[in-house]
Amino acid sequence: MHKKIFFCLLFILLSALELIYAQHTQYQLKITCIDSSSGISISDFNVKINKLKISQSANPFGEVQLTHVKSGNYQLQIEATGYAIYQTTFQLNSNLELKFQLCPIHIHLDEAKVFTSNNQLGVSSQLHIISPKLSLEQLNKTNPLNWSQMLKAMPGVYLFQSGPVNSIPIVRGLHTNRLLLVQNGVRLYNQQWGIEHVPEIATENIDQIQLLRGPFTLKYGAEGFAGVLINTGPDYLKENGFHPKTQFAYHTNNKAFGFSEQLQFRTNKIATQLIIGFKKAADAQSPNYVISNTGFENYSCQANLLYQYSNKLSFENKLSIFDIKTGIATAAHIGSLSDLQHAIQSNRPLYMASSTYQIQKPFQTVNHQQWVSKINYQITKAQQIQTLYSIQHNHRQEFDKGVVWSTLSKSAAANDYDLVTQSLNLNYQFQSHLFQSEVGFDLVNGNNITTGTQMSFIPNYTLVNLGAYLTTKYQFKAISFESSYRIDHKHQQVFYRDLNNKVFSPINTFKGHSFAFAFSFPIVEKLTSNFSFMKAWRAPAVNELYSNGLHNSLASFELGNINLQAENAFNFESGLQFKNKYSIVKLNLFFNTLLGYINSTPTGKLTVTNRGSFPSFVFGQFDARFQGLELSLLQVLGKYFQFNYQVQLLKAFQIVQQKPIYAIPPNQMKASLDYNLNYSRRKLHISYMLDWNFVAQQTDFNPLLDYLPPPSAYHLIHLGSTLKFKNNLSFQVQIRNLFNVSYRDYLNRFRYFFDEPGRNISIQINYQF
Amino acid sequence: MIKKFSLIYFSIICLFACTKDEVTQPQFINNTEQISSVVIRLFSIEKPDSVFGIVWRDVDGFGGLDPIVEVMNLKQNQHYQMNMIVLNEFVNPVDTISNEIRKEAAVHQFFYYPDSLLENKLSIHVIDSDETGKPLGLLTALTTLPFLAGQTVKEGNMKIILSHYDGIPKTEKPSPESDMEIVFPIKISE
Repeated sequence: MHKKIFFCLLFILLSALELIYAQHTQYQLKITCIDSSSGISISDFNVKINKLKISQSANPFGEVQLTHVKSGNYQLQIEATGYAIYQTTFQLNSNLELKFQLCPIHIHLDEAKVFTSNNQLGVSSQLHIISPKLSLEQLNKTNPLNWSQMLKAMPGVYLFQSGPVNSIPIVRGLHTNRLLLVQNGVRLYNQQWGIEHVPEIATENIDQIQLLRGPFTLKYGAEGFAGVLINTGPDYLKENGFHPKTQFAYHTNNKAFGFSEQLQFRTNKIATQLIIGFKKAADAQSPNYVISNTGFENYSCQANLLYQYSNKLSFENKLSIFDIKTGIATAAHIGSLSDLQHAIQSNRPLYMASSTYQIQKPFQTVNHQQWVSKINYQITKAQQIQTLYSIQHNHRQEFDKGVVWSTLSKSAAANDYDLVTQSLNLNYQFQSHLFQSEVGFDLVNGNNITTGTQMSFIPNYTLVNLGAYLTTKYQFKAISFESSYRIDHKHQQVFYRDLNNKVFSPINTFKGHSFAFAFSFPIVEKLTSNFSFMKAWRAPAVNELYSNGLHNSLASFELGNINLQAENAFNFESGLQFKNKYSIVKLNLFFNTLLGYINSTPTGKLTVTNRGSFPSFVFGQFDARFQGLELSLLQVLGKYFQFNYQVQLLKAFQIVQQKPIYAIPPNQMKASLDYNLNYSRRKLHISYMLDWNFVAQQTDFNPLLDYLPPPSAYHLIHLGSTLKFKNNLSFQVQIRNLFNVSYRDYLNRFRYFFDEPGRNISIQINYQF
Repeated sequence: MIKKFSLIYFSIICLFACTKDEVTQPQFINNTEQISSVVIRLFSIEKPDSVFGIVWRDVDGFGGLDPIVEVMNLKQNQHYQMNMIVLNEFVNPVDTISNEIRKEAAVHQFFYYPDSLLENKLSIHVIDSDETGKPLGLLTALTTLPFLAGQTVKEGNMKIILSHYDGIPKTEKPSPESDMEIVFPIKISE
């Protein structure tokens, strides 16, 4: 009851503030930017007006709109990736529209500021139509508890869940090893093969996420058929000084609370960042019961240091530590096939208890440490060389409930994976007036040690990957052409024992070429078209080759297949974008064909164990197609309203047998209505948000691959409100699943056991000193 | 300055580049702590000298070869006493897990489920119990019922489940989590 009163008061407060400030009238300011050489509009830039303490990114229309700005003289600064920073002054005494021409950085390189963690000279893709990018503000729209949940706001991303909190992203039906994750400029090397292995990326260290598709993905590896999720942290301070930033969040559903502190410091030569975060959550709650043992504890730390030795030479070091302990829902921990059948027959979890912060067995702990060291050397105004070295230590431990007679399982982990990976990247970039290019070389070395009291899914292994790539971009006026080529050689040796404890150490070697190209061009004014094609390949992962174990929660026995060959992807994508003053419509069609798609398929036999008889699955290969459509609409309605609409349709099937593929995201629709008010004079921004999310029932499924048919379709409504004051204090309230709907999601592998979480009210407070 | 820095930088890289020897020496698989064998000893009350045993044994753990499962040969219209021994033979010396189960009787219970083919042909009653008087199931009484006229042999299966009550009260129903689930074929003859 007290929660309802609190939110009623909050609503009244926000509305009252809005009425008070609506009494004043000031001028409006609109800013747009175009490329000085090609004349095309730039949609991704940031405007900073110090006098008003405003730093605002362009909206999807490529505009920064400020309302209620008091008359006077102002100095503004415009920043855009790939362009020189632009500074100017202007006088405001009436409504004003300003249009600036930004110079590409190769023309005015000497004007480029050096204090940036992002690559100023780097080749940036203009194909925004196929590579959506979300800012922190957009990512925070869902008040996420972890990094994967941040991606709910990203178009085309669905989540593959293992309980109410743990999830991994799935893009166009592909996930884990086919979706690359980049953090601190390097690939994240973790136990990515497991669908219950949540990526070790802290939300506190995210300022922007881009889902990169097309040719430039090959810079990061050949396996990213689904794309590359590039996580970018906050940029260094632009001026000398010290800036702390504090964030606090609370969620009612699982009583989760989080705290983070960001400290930034800069002198003439040195810029530093320290970001620490802590989160703790109790058990999640569905509308009708507590989902026991689904709490978590998460610590994270990120320390960055940039030393600018000269105008040409800079050194940067980044250290990140991510540590998490996650409970595995007790009700989903079954011992035999009979247990699963009992759970399915019951509408409620077979184990229920009151909510607690205590995490019992079974649980997982993961500690991931990453050190990245970067050296940048500016050879000439249009040439740059960069070395990027990283070492990553991923230690994952999975603790089972164990059996009474086991002395080991009381303390030791059932599965313990210790993976150390080093990577070295050498990158040379050069630019001319119309042409930009990067050529690079990659070396990756990984060592995995597996121990534990249970038979594991992967053996010990060593891995060496050598790769080289070339990416180019040619731009002439509004026509853009991008291409890339990559060659890889992968050497992998595994070490395991047979029943007689004799060590076997087979070697697997794979090599392959990848290439991609894409171009975009205007058909008529306001209507742009783009095409892209990519041929890439992926060597079978260690688990796909050597898996041999029982998936308790999936009640299945999984076997590897040492005869697997590399899978080859042929991705074709075509898109149209219509953009005018009030609306943006994007339509993408994709046809991704995977020859030799590696997937777990039923053998039709039962594996008899002391836990009962389980259906057996073995990794096999078949040709598969993933095709679909993504449509999005952004419409400005009057002065204050904005309407968003997204549709995602996906169909995946075996090409020869025309059978559906297991665990493909169902079709979905999203719509949101935003109401925004800017009072620049009072430095106040108020916004309200109403979200509707519809997920259809998956009708394409193979009953042989599942114990239950897909759950019914569901609708969810979310509400939100944000109040920003003086650009340094913000207060955000979100109500997810407003009507406390009971539902189960097809891509939650614990859907046999319990419902999804119910209503969640969350509060987030940010303060920048 | 740059030379010194480069030297330190690449020294650090080389230091971390050293690989661990443990990678090439995977752990022994014998340290898994699981049930390898279930031995059932039976004797007929009517014929106390006729002690016999049957075994369910999986020597290579999960996967690999199918377990060896012996048939429980019973006579009709008899009263048997059945004693179960659960072993872990992956360790040396062999661990008698059933002793641990008896010690932790308060959180364990065996359930016996003859299939429909054995309906009205045998019944099972648990004899032993935990300290609170609730059934355990390591020791049971098995009764075969007399055949109807014309019947000579009856075959079917019996599922044995070891339930583990961790954090929940022990009831007459199996818990959501089983420690063991095996099936024995049963043959009842005249």
